[in-house]
Amino acid sequence: MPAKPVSIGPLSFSSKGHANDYFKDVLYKYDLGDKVTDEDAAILTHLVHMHPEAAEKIGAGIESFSVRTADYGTRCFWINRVDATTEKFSFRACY
Amino acid sequence: MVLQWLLDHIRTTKAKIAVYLAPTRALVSEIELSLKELSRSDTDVEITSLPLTEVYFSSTAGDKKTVFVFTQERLHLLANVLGESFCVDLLIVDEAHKIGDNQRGVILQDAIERVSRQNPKMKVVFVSPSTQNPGELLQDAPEDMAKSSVDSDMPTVLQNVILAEQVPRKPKEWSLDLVWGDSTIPLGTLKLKNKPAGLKKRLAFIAAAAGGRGGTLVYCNGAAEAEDVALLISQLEGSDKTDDQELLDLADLARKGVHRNYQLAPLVERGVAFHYGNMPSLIRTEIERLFRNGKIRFLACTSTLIEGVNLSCRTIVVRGPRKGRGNPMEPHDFWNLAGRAGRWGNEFQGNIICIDPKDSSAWPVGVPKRSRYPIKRETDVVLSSTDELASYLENRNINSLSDLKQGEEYEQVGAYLLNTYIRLGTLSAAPFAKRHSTEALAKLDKSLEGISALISITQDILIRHPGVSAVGLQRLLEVFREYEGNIENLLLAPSESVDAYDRYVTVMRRINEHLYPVFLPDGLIPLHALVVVEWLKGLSLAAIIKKRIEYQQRNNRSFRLPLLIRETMSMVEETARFKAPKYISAYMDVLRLFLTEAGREDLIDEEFDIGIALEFGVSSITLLSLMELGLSRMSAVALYEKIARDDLDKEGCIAWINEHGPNFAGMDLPNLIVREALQVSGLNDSEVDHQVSE
Repeated sequence: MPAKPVSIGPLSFSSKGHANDYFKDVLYKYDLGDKVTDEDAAILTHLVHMHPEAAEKIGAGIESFSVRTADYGTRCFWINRVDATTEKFSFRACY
Repeated sequence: MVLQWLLDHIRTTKAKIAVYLAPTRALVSEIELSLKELSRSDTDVEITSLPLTEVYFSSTAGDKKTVFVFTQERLHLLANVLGESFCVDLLIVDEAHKIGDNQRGVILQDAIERVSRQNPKMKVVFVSPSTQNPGELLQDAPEDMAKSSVDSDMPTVLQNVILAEQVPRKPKEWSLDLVWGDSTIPLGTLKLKNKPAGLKKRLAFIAAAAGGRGGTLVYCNGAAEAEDVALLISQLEGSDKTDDQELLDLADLARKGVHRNYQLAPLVERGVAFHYGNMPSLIRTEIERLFRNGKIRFLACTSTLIEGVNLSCRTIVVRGPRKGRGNPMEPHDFWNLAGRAGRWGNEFQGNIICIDPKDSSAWPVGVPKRSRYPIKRETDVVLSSTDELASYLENRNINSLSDLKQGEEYEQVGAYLLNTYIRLGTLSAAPFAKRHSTEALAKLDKSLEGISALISITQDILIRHPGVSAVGLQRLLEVFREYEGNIENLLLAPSESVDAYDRYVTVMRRINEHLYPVFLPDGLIPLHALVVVEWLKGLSLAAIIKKRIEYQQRNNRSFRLPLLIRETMSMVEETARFKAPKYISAYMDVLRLFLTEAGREDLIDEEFDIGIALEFGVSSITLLSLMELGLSRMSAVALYEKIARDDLDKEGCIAWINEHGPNFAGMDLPNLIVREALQVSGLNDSEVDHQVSE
């Protein structure tokens, strides 16, 4: 079966695997605790809207995105919401 | 005696600010307590161990006088906050031989020199036990100052060295011989009830048999051994379960303050305890107090005791003493320990029982003869290995810091020399120059010239961070300048913030990579960061331990409870209270410099002093106020768990205690903590002794 292409905002990938590689690179180019740049934040905004639980994840609204650990283990993208709460999400769950 | 003199001096002269320097927090608490007792009736002299500017200013502005009791690090903290205006009239340096200490000796020397530069007329008194060359310490005093050394090494008590050797073929029988000059006098045979299989049992059984009257110290090599030996002793005859309230209170505190299965608790209930450096101060000082009054009969101790706790005993039992990891004890250290025997209660003699004196693995040079300390500054020792030091300095700006060799030996002194060079332009103008050859100084000057040319970090920052290399600080500044991401990503987050842990991980990595490899091994940085954040959040030791246990269980990792408890204690003491404040506050200062340079002063938080926050493990005004009142951190944290508001000042805290004091019984607080709280609020002052903060 041919790989299914994925498109996220302005980006398109020929397969899920390529999308995974792209976001993994983004995730690891930051230091823990960093806020992501505006360019990355724009892509992540598109991405999180594709999440099956997008409404719950976004909540009161997106203020910014950070790279932090999840339960002191793996790296993860986090949404910093406008109401100062925060929520992690898995990029793999979005497509 | 020195303490009484100090109080008399400050009362009768114009001196307003006195600083008493002691090498450990344990000793600081002890001195603070003694001074408070001595000056109980005197309201004109304030005694504190907290580096608070408010106390300083109330003294310099008014009639009040202040004695600060500090470690060298705390003296630097206060000097950092006060800057140029800090002026000490009288400085007392206790355990002054610690100036030869490998890591903190340089910080001590730097502290003394720093305050004496700010007030060249300051009086300084050095106190040091059994010292061969006390005059050494006076050498660097300004030329025109009066100086004299007083030697008073009169042994005031009789100390018997007793050798314990097994009778051939009879492992349960041990002959005791008193050392008398170069020969020995047989004293008799000690009969053990059980076979002493293994070295720990040997130590425990002989101690129990010979020291049954109490007041017995058992010297152990390391915290784990101390716990094991104490457990063995507690099972022997004469160590029955007690119903003494003070012992039960201490056991209760150990269970609630550390962990419900902390081994100390059941032992204390049998009049036996162990003692080591990283224990919380409230517990440790209570152990010492109950040992002094005889309720704890046996105390298994470690080298912490010779590192700065004044504790006398009736009998010391020792076999092959080591100091730190593995190194056989030097004769002067052995005699510093042995000197504790005697002066117990009203007695004027003490016994030192040395087991297996002929075993060369235990005693490589035999039982040491009585000797005195030769004092030598760590800086002088390191300076005398000129060639290696010079090449270390030239190499300090190495690309990858993990390749830096011999940092253990040279980093601290290297940083000290570089700062001296930057300040004076040549080492030959420094006070220590007279003790070293011109060639050596010229060689070092040359190495320093090369690296100092790289430094643009301002002097005030260098002075604030003794022992931290200017080369490392400069590197950090370059890293900030080259940083391409959002500048805000360089900042730390407040400990309550959701990203605090991650920020600390990143900052610690950055420090390891560019400043100096501090938080080791690299793989454990997450754990270091976690403990630091929890400490800053004001979590109790018990809570930090509990969280680690839960983490291990959640991840299905096995762990040994006694080891986990000891490791957590040492991480709190060594990382959160020593390395993190030292290096993270340096990081913050360089960052501040960079933010100013980059026009981003808006990101600087002037209010928050990370150094002080880490030293005391507090992040809220209420917690700091509780500690200012004189509570130990353990008590402050336990109370803060019950106090809703985070912005109470000292009066607010007292009001809270007065209001809620009557209900303490219902809050499940350990008795010792209740006692401390009621005492600082004055509710119950007559019944309890002064307690101290740490």
